[in-house]
Order: sequence, then C-alpha cells, then structure tokens
Amino acid sequence: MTPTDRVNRPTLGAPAPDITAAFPDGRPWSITDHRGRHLVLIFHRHIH
Amino acid sequence: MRARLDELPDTDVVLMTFTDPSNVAAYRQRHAVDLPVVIDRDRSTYQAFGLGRGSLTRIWGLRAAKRYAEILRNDGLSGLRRPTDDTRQLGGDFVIDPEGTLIYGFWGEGPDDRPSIDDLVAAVNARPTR
Repeated sequence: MTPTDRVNRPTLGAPAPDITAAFPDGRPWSITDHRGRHLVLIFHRHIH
Repeated sequence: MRARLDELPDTDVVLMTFTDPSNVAAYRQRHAVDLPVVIDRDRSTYQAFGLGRGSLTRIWGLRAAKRYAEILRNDGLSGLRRPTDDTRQLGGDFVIDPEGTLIYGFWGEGPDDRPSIDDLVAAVNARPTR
C-alpha cells in the first residue's frame, strides 16, 4: 500500500465538516458562510 | 472551468490553500485565478476533509518528472520555482449542498489528480443521494 498520512474521510450524504479559514487579508471565512447555496470547495495542492 | 461553474445558479466556488498569504497574489496573477482564495496554514481543514499527504514516489514520480520536463521545454528555467510549501500535501474537490451536506468528494492521489469539470457540474445539479 502506498504510504500516506492516514486521515479519515468525511461521509458523503452527511453534514460537511464545519471548517473555518481566512482570506489573504485576514478576514475570517467559514464554510457556513455559504449556507443556502451550493459550494464547490477546491483544496489546492502546493502553490508554486 | 470558472465559466462552466459560473453557469450554475446559486453556487459559490472557493479555492482553499495552505500557503503563506504573501504567495497568493503572485499565484493569482501567474495563473489568472479569478476565484476567492482562503488560507488554512495548519491544514486542519485538509485533515477534516480526509486529505493527507502523498508518498514521495507518487508526488515526485514519473508523472511529476514529465510535468517538469514540459515546463522546462515551454518556459525554460524561469518556469521552475522553488516549492514554498509541503509538496506532498494532497488536494481534493468537494461539493456541499445548500443545507450543508457533503454530496460529492474527490480525494486526489497525486499532484495532477483532479476530477473533470463535468463531474463537478453534475454533482451540483444532482439530487441528494446517500
């Protein structure tokens, strides 16, 4: 098996993880900010 | 991609990264990224969505070598940049419905492993499934 950091995947059909982050200017962001709309959330690999 | 997603009603698209905020502006300019970008420096959001780190052979294997050869061929040495972040961090793409339910997930297994835009559009348009 390819070694990877083992992390648990969230379940499809279940509530999405309640996560927060920040915009580059420091303003807070929360996944709940998008409640009432679909959200396509793209987790980027490293930026280069 | 942005054009296709912009066609979807009541849909937001957000790019999550873990890079330093000072890198974001240059990245957006270089790649013409016109999406909202948010930053999670400690990658707890990546962990929450089940995105770990790939193996060295998967991240820096033959496919990566081919990709960097292409960059060298097209842009020369100026096209290469020293990585500023964890190059082994895997990415993914997810769709959350208006009620906050995770309805689609793609867990990338390598740096160039991405779903098709058609898959993302279909996920937004699909009825909720379990």
